[in-house]
Amino acid sequence: MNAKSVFFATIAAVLIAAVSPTVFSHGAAQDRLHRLEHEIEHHPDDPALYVKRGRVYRDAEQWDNALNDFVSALKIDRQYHEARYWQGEALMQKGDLRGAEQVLKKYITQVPDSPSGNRTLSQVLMQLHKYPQAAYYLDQTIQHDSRPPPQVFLERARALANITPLPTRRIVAGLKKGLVKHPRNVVIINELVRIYELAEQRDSALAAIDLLPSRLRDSPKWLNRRAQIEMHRGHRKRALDLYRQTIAKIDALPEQRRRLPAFVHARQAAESGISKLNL
Amino acid sequence: MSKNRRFLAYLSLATALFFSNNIFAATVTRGPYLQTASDTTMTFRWRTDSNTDSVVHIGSSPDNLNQAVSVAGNTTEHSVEVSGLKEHTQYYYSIGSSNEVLAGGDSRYRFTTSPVPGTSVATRVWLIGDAGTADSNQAAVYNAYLNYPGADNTDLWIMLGDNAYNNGTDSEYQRAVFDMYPELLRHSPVWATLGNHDGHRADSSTESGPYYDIFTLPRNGEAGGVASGTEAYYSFDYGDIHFICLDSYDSDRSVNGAMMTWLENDLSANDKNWLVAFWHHPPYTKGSHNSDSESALREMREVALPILEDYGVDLVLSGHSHSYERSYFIDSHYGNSSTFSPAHQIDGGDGREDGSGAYHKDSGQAHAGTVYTVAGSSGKTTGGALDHPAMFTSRNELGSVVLDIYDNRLDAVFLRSDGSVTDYYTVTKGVDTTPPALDRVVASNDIEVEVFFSEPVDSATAENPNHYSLDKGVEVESVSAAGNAVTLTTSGLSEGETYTLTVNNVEDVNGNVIAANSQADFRYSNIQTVSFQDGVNNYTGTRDTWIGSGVGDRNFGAETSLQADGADGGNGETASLVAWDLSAIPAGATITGARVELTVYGVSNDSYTLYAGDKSWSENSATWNSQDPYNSRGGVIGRFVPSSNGTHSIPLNATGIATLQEWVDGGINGGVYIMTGGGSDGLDMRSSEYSVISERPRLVVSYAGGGSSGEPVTVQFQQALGGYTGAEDTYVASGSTDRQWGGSSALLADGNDWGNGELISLLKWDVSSLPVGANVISASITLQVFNRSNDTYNLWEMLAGWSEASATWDNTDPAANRGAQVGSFNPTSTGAVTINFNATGIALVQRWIEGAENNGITVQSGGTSDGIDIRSSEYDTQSQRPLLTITYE
Repeated sequence: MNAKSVFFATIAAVLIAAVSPTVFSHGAAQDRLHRLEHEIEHHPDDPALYVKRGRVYRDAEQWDNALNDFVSALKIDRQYHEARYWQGEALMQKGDLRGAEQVLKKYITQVPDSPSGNRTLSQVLMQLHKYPQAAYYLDQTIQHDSRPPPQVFLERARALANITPLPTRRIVAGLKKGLVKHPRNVVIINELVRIYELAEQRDSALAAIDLLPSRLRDSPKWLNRRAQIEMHRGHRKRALDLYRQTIAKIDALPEQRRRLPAFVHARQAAESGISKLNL
Repeated sequence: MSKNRRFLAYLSLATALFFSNNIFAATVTRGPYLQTASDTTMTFRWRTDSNTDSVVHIGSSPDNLNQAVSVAGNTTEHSVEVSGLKEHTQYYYSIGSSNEVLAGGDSRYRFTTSPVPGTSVATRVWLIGDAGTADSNQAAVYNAYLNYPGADNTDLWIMLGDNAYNNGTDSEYQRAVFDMYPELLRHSPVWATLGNHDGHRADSSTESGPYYDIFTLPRNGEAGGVASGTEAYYSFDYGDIHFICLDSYDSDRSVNGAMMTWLENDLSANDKNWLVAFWHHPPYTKGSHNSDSESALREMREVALPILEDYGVDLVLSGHSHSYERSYFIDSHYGNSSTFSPAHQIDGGDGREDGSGAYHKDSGQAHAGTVYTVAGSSGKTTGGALDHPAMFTSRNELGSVVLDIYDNRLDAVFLRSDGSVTDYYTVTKGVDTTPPALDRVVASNDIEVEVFFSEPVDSATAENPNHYSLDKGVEVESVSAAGNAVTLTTSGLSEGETYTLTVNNVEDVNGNVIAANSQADFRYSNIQTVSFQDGVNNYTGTRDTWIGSGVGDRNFGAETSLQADGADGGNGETASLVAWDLSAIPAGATITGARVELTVYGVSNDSYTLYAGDKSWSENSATWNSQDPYNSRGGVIGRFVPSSNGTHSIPLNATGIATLQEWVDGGINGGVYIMTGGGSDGLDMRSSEYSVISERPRLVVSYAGGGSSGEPVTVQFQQALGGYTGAEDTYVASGSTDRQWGGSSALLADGNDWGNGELISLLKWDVSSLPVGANVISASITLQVFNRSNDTYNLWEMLAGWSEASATWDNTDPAANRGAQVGSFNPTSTGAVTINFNATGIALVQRWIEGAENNGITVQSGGTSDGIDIRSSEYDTQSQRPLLTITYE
């Protein structure tokens, strides 16, 4: 490259650098696609541009176009792992679960500590009814995610809940791990109670409800839930007392709030529970 | 160590400390900004260009910052939570390190803590959506707000997602947020929700990426509400307002997922007077996004809305579409836009005290009305159809939303970037003392009068015929009421006559009685009935086919029969699709009645249902699999039992009439689905291909208004506009004489395109739906140019017949078959260009309507070789396809 070429290459690089922040327009997907097409014309060997365009297609639910771009990126650079992740995700969204499983497993061999990769793979496996495998990859997700959200613990519990016989201890262990990360989280406690009820471990279910913050624990919804569990335990008096507490709580609400469907239903459930217990 | 050595060591250390703290003093490069505000806490965030520890000083005046909170450890990303503050109290502050104050200490650096949850205080909220363009548009929206009264006392502001284009990177956030809003960031806490662009570089499952790094949001109920366990979705209280933020992009949206489970529990524990929810993807929009077809939008509507409305949500705000769309006061609409009907309007008025009245609901009341707002135009506008029927107004305008809430009153405005207010409404709560009023009265036909009240009315009093009287000897025979609409069945009305309706004793749902002798005038006129049947009056606008689940990929559009059956052997379940082009009905017409006539030749004793089709389709390609009828059918519009051969007339119900109205107004005309009610006693009908014209499917429509009273009527023809399928276009090349480009999404014209020679575009539109007697006043075409030219292009009448699928230079010879010139234009810029037809062109269109051969027009270069490219009817974006506009009397 002679001096002149270096000069022009430098100018071009400076121009590209200057333009790049604004090169993707701020509007509809169509505009962004046009800009990205233009960019790709100038930089046809940049896999990042194909992934960007693929994600625009992905957001527009144009799965085939998205997949073409992710594959293009991988053709340029087989080690461009991000492209493989999005390829797997798009295949899942498109409904090609076998393809998604294959691609995401390959991705996980390359990026084993990716929380997103492990989680998306688990979602594919759930849809393929491969529940133990799904739970395994959710364990990996939890292990590699510094802050796994409640949803991940929920998904793990639900994957395992599909296995017969119900692996209660494994499920509970995972949910309790979730409660260490998210103390007193209603979503995880709700699932824990559900699993204990499925396993007919009603004492444990009641103990789990006690973990809730008091504003929830003493709400009509959860008073009713406790009453139902007490009823199943055969503790008629406690159940009656809890149902009455539910009604008293609802009656203490302002009139319009009392009429909210949730409270109307809760009151009906409590009245029905009392009727059954009084038979 | 000797004394000298010790001295030198101390000297070195002191020198190092001196230089590190003075010569390399830190500078604030971001913020400060305020996060996770509550009645007792405030979190301060800022960034420095070098590592320091973090110190915040606060106090009751700028010169008395007597309380310090510090966080040890050197960092450039500072976050300091100050707790133990007094509720609803103004404080001043500074930020810095243990060595220096880096910013603050004057009146610009202040904040006010939230009120105690549950207490009512005047509250100002500013909302922006899709703002992050970092350009003059965004700045104009911000400046308009800064100049709006009360901006200086903004209690909180909300970013509705896509806060920094294009990918939500840290540097994009710097430009679009921190460099853009420094004043507001300093004194008003900001709350955010994740947009899809933010999500390009952020991950909700790991709470990682710039969005999650930048915002400190409550995951443990720090500012009120139930702990969500994630910053992706959360709630907080401000006084008597409970705010809900959901993640519509990157969190599980299923009904049993963590987000919705948390939402239901959070709402069950909430007792605040106002409930405001926000997320990025709007449940209702027809802007740059479509809530009928995009899954995130649809799922939020189907899953989140029922939960929120069960708990009486007042406002829902979103972005994503770059427009402003604001609904009526609505409830319980969870389907596609075609299923929206007046029954979903709790209040179908404008919500304005100087208009049809403020929206009103009792405190804490569920399913009593919600205003849904798309506020995604705070950085740019990108249009769209903007015709969602749930919306009171839809505007392609830059701007933001301002809320003022106090006690039982909420005032909202849309503030344009130029400082003007183009929408406003009020919601009030508490005991309703406002009586209903007559809103409008319309004669639907000669024996039906529709009465619309200002609010829903009590059916017991509204359905009493004695409460209504009409003059000129007309009797009210019966009444039916639904919501705020009442239908009077009357003795005969006379054409062209004006009547006065008097109403007494009608009550609203809270027992307020209408003012005695409330009156409204109306005129019965202009009701026209038109019918649509292939072959009658040159009409060719019917599409029909049957489809079968057992032959899921096969199309039967060319068959002379239609069928529907619960189980038809190898064909599986069968259904029929029928659609009519209604473009002959003038714009502005109000549909008052309609019926479908189907000729049956294979009877059934089962009941069959007519549904509104929600999905566009074409006669020659629709299949069971492409239509997926159970998922693309809308509301029930009619039913019949075809137990005898011959023509069955099926009147369309209110949903059917609303559906036709939408088609006439330009909505997607997905036609009618004819499906079994569950039986397997099949039904056979004639299709529009059947040889006997009178037995083809027929649609009869009555309408009022529009241009049918002798005023000019304007109709538009564009592929897919209102279900129209009559456009054809292509281009041909003199240098490639046997090639055809009918499937191309572009039309080209050029005097000399190198090897292709001259390029000429051919365009035509089927206008057979126009009435034969129409007198054309003007005509124009609108073309979307995406490759411009400095030279002149001409439009010519095309004399020879052609079809899009086969046209080549050889078989059209457009140079030789060129008729008279009908127009010309200079496409010197890209974008839409409208070319008015000259007198010759208008006469040409007149001849097409009168039945002459319609070969359309050509677009030809005026001799230049500076070519142009135009979007064709195959182009993805419907609004950019060639458009023919005709105005006639």
